[in-house]
Amino acid sequence: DITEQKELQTQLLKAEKLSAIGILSARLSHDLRNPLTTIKNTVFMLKTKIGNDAENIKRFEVIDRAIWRMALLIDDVLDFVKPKSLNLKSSSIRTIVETSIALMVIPSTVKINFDFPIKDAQLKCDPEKLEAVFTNLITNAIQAMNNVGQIYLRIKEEPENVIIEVEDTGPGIPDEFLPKIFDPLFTTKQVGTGLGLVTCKTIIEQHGGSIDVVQKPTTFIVRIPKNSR
Amino acid sequence: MKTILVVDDETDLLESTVDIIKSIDFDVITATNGEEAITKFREKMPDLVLMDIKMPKKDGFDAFFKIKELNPNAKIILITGKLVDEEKLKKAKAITLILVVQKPYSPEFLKELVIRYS
Repeated sequence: DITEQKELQTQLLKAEKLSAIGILSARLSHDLRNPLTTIKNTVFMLKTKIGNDAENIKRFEVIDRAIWRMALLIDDVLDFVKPKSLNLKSSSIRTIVETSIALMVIPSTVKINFDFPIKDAQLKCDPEKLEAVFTNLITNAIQAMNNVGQIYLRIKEEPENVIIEVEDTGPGIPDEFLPKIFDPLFTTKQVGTGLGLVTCKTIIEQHGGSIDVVQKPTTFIVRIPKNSR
Repeated sequence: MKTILVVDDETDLLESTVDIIKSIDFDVITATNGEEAITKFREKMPDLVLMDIKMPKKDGFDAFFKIKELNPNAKIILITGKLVDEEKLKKAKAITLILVVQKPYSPEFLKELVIRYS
């Protein structure tokens, strides 16, 4: 019938759009890696000239982290097109969450509140990929609050899983958008690829975990098994 | 002093790579495409070639095969941003391509490569 035909047409259009992204991102990755390598090389040479100036050493560390983050973003897009297998190692969930924050520039008008258990949980996971997940979720939270508000980060432990919650004080996700937020290319932002949340979901599912969202207040709940296979 | 031939069509990247290699006391000559690389190789017979794969005129693989014809003992490292022609890679490995380096590589790694393979 007509509804079925329409649905099929939508699916086909979506598949075409995704395939175009695949081609584009492969090209982009090559083109971005060149300037990124140039920046890396030049920063390296500049660092040899700064001596022991603590302020400048710190500034270069910031640049290094930004470069690393860009390289990771390129990998993220490529991972979406062709997911890479996980590089599993024993890691501390606290370190993963803290590193993802250290990699970001948090506006001074955003306060991050931590609710971490005293005992740190260890899990077998790909720490770099999980850092990308939390950086993504926290970035979304900051943008949803228009750079002003509070974020609550909670770590909870179950016998088999670790749970990480990212809650924000933003206005919430409109009900009509909720079913689509994990769809590839879905975005409500002016700037954004629409790949952030779907990449998060892919990474978490690769770990055998899950990601859910609840409203009022908006909270993303990530559940990761302690022993991913 | 040993000589390294660096080949890349992106001049900023080329210059920054040269800067690093010079900092560890090597002579560096450059080319910005595969054809020029072959000419420079023939003229100077460098100790090591670092060459990007995706380039205009002649790509890194084609220049690699030509240089190997000129001197089967030529030491060549190819550099890539991701897209690699698997067929050509297989063929190149069969005639001793040292390795393919993925961008963005670290400058420390670049220095190590130059010292180890030149």
